[in-house]
Amino acid sequence: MVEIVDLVKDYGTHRAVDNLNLTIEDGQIYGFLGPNGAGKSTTMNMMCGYIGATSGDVKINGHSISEEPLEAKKLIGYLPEIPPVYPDMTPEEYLDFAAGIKRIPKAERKEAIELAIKKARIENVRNRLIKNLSKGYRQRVGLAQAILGLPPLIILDEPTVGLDPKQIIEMRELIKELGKEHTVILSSHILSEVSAVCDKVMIISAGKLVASDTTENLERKLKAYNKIQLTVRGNKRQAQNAVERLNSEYAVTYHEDTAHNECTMVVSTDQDKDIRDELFLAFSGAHLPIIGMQSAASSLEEVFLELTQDGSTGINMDNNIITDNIDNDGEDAE
Amino acid sequence: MGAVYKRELKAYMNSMTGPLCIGVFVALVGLYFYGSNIQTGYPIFSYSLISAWFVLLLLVPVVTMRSFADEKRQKTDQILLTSPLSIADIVLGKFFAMCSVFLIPMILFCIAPLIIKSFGNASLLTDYTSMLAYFVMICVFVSIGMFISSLLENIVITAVCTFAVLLVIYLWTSIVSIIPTDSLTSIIILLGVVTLIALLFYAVTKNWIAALAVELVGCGILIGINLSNPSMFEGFFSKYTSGLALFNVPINFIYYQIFDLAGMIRMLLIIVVMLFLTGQSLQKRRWS
Repeated sequence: MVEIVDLVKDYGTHRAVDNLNLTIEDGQIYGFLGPNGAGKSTTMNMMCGYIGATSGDVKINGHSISEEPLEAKKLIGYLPEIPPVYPDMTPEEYLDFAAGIKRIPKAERKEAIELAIKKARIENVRNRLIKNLSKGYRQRVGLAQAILGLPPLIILDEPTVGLDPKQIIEMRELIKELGKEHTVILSSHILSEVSAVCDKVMIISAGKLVASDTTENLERKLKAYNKIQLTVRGNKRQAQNAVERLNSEYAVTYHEDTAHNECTMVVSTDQDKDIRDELFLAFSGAHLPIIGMQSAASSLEEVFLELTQDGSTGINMDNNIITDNIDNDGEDAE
Repeated sequence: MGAVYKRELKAYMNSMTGPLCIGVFVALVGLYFYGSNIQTGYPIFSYSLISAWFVLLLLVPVVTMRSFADEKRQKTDQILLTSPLSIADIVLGKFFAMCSVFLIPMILFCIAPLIIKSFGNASLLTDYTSMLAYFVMICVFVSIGMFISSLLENIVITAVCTFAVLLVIYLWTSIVSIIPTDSLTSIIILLGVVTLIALLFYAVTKNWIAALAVELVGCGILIGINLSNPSMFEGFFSKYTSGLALFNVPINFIYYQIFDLAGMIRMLLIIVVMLFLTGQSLQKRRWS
């Protein structure tokens, strides 16, 4: 659907997007993740032809956005970060205008507008001036414009920014629904949002792609069970004795709470295996009741922060997850 | 183009801008018409039209200031530039919409010569051809205002700049007449213009080598021409730039009753150049 090849964008001496290579397949929801200023919007703007690339190219279904812009743009529905709505129009007038510039045939226009209004759930405000609408409704009008004519590729730049929690849930549902028939790319700096709606996640930092994988894989890797935090009823010495009885070599850190006769420890191994059974048997054998056990691997947020900090480079497009930073902590390994 | 034209014209007519501009224009010209044609009995309506020239200096910037500057400020240009529209569609759609705002009062003014005729003698041919020239002149001003709007983001600064440029065009004959006609003065002014162009070039490209090259090539050409033909720069501005005094075109139609074809072609050329530059200005923003 979309092929991004060696995409570069320089603003003066600042390189906003740095040799980005991506392939986006049909019929999936992609999450474009990164901190503010990572180059998400710049990349999306280049994909839609709003700004030109310094070098490299974007191809939408084989049509280069720089060489065949009109053909490529026909396939895209774009909702920028700030919805490009005219305050002096009503949503219906605005969508009629959008249908005109999107070259939707006149005979199909009415039906396309009705469908967009219905999908974006703006029926009740369709005849009110956009300047009198709330931020959430403006966002929906912008979304209606993006999905107007049902383009095969829908690009949404931070679609839930400024929405209230109820609207966020509604927007997510709508994106999921759109993902059934369209290829959707959405950007966000909120991880939970991406993991809630996206099939695949691409993490971008300082203009570079630092990780790309399915949401499930990313979460599975992050929820690895080779690093476990557990709390047992007993003191530190008893816990140490139990750990020593384990067959394998483990790195352990202890924290004793003498007031409650509890000892909390983090047990980890470099091997890619689930150590929970072994720990359970060892502590039950030592008559130390386990009162809490959980994965101590980094949360999605921690990994995201790590990946998007300076110096996080190195990408493995085969398995699509970065190894450098995670390996440093021994938390996850390819 | 049609969708952009329709939206723009609707936006002008639904907001205060369109009706206010049309109202002020019609009221002022109507006042001159009443005073000159009805009361005094002067048989040519275009005389009243050209007398109200100054109102254009105010109305054109008010109409054109928003065209692109406001789109950039509100980021609504994103929908235009990411839709399957060519730059020409966008520029022409907006240009024709703004011209249409001025076309409405011009159509109303078409009644005036007929009113004069009902009282006695009227010069319908002179009037209608003059009105055509006057309208083309308005279109030139609109294209200039639109180009300035495409360069800037602040609508107030856009309006002020457009007003300043239109004022210079109006005063051009007077400005040229006060410039000394000797070669040296002409060359110094032209060198200043070349430097200004080089500075603009630097502002746009941020490439000082290219800007320096523009400056050196410009200076080289000027010095070369001066060495080969020293008399070339004598009275340069009055000889070669009088065509910029665009107000003279409708004046030729009205006062001298000649169809100034050269003037009309010149104005149409300026429109084409301005539309082209507006398109380039939009393209340039995509690449900077």
